[in-house]
Amino acid sequence: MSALLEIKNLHVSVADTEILKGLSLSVSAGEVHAIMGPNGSGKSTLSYVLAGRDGYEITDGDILLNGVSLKDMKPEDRAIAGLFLAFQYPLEIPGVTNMTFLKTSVNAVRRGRGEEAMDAASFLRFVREKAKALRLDDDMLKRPLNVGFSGGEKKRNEILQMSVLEPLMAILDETDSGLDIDALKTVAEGVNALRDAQRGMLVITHYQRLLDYIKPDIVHILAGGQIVKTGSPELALELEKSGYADYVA
Amino acid sequence: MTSFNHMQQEAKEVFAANGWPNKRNEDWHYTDLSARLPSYFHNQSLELSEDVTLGNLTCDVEVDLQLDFINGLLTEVEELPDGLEISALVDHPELVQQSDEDVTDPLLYANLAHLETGIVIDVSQVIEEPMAIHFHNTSADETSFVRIIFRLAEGANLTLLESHSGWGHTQLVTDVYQHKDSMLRHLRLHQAEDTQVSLLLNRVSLGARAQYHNVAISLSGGLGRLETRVTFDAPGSHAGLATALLSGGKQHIDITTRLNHLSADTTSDTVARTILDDEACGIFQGKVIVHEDAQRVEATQKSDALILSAEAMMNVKPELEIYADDVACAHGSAIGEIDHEALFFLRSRGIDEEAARIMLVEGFVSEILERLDDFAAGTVLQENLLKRVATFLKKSA
Repeated sequence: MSALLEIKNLHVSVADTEILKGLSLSVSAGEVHAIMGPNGSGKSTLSYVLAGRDGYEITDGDILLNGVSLKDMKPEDRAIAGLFLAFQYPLEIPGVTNMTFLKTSVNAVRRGRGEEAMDAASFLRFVREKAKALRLDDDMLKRPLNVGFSGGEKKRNEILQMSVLEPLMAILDETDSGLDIDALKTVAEGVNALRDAQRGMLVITHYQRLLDYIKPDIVHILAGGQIVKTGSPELALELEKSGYADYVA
Repeated sequence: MTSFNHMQQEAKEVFAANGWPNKRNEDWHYTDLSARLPSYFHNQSLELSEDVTLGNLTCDVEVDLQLDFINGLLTEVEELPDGLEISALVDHPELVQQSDEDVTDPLLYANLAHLETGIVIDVSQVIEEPMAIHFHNTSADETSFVRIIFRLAEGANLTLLESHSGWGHTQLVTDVYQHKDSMLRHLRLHQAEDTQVSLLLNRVSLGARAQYHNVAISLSGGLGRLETRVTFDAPGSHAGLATALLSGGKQHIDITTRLNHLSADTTSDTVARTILDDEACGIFQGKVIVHEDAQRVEATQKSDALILSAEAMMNVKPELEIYADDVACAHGSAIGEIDHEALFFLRSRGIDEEAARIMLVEGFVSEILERLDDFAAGTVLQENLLKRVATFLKKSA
């Protein structure tokens, strides 16, 4: 069976400095992979390059989603193709309500996928149900996007976006950062509810702690811009004890 | 007492001698009128033609109470509700102030020298329905020189929806006298043709606990100056000034505010949001003056500008002059481009680049539109104005 997400020998430079140096990885539908790595190993670069942010130059290799190259796709087209990035630092957008944003986003993706846009009333029912599962109240849907949200609320809001956009492949970039333990549990519950035989997930994290709540199938260690080790979930526990020293040149 | 005609004659002489202000006048440093305006105007229309139709040019709301000024002349006035009276300014020469400062103020002497229509509107109670005043010039040769004086009695309350459209030259002076506990909510919508000139001056004086809420939206027009001066004469008075300025092409729009806190325990808040595209030029000059005896004044002033093109220019001159020691005043100003991080975030959610840009800019403006929340017909106004903003942005995208 071919992989859902396949990253092949990916070389990426930022301002002429090579950050990813031949990274290869494949995630099949239904799998959750974790990528762990020390500071500066290229974790954030990987998440941004997957989502198509400007300023990241792919000098070699390719990224395939369901066999289709994402390399020359705009960020919005990647979202339509089924890729979703949960941001480490979700952006605050004053003056745009969460609801308006979610509706615009969902309808843009639906139209891009050849589906019909949702009318206001059906969207409201749809989003309320999803929000309720993440314990996000109506007030947070009416407020401007992420403005004045706590760290936990912002991350739950990211998971809400993931849940309404129904991606094939979700990248979670340091979703645990800035969360206390209760918030972490709520976010993890939300993510686990979205685990699905059709969906792949790539959980990028610095600490093992998140993986207590989102149990990965496979763990990779990213160091120096390459995957240096791939193993079972136990690998994360080992790392917690011994640290990254063995993997850093 | 000096007669109205005598004062107008005096203004004509001052205008003939001084003309329009130029760069050397500090208040007009960024908007040199002498270089841009003819040295005199002929008032073209002495009578109204019958066939003028306004169409969909007003503030987009149905109101029963509407005054239309076409080429500077007031069209027929419908029956007024209780609590509202209109009289001619000629009969109130005492209201045409002639302080030394007025005599040398170009917006005032030019207005008086050319005045076509002057009216006094007395508001004696709470008026529930909004009042609309629309100004329209039918061609590039037409002018509107108008002065309107509002007097709000104790406890009176009015929502005023003012709008401007068309061609030519409009110069409006609005004087507002608010007695204690009165409230005026004032929307000013400026959306004229790209050769049009609008010089709009508001002068407001506030009695005890009087409140003046101004929301100004400028979406087009060639050369514009939207100036508001507020004097806080008694404790508890408050003014909120919110402006959204969206300019493209070669427009030159100047927002000038002056908040004069004469009395203790008064508050003001000024916020301006500017969006400039193409070769547009925007100006924000905001001044807050807190006089020596005006303790416990709270005043904030904030100007933010978003520049969408390398050829656009923004000039900002925020000023605080504080002579009292127990005050809380702040001002801030920022000029920037579209936030690329925010743009990427929206695009990563499937929203295409143009729609994402429009969404960010609408968000930037919508905080000004939120100030209409408490206006009569506020929700309708917000929706319709947001549509106008979206149309502007699509045109400039």
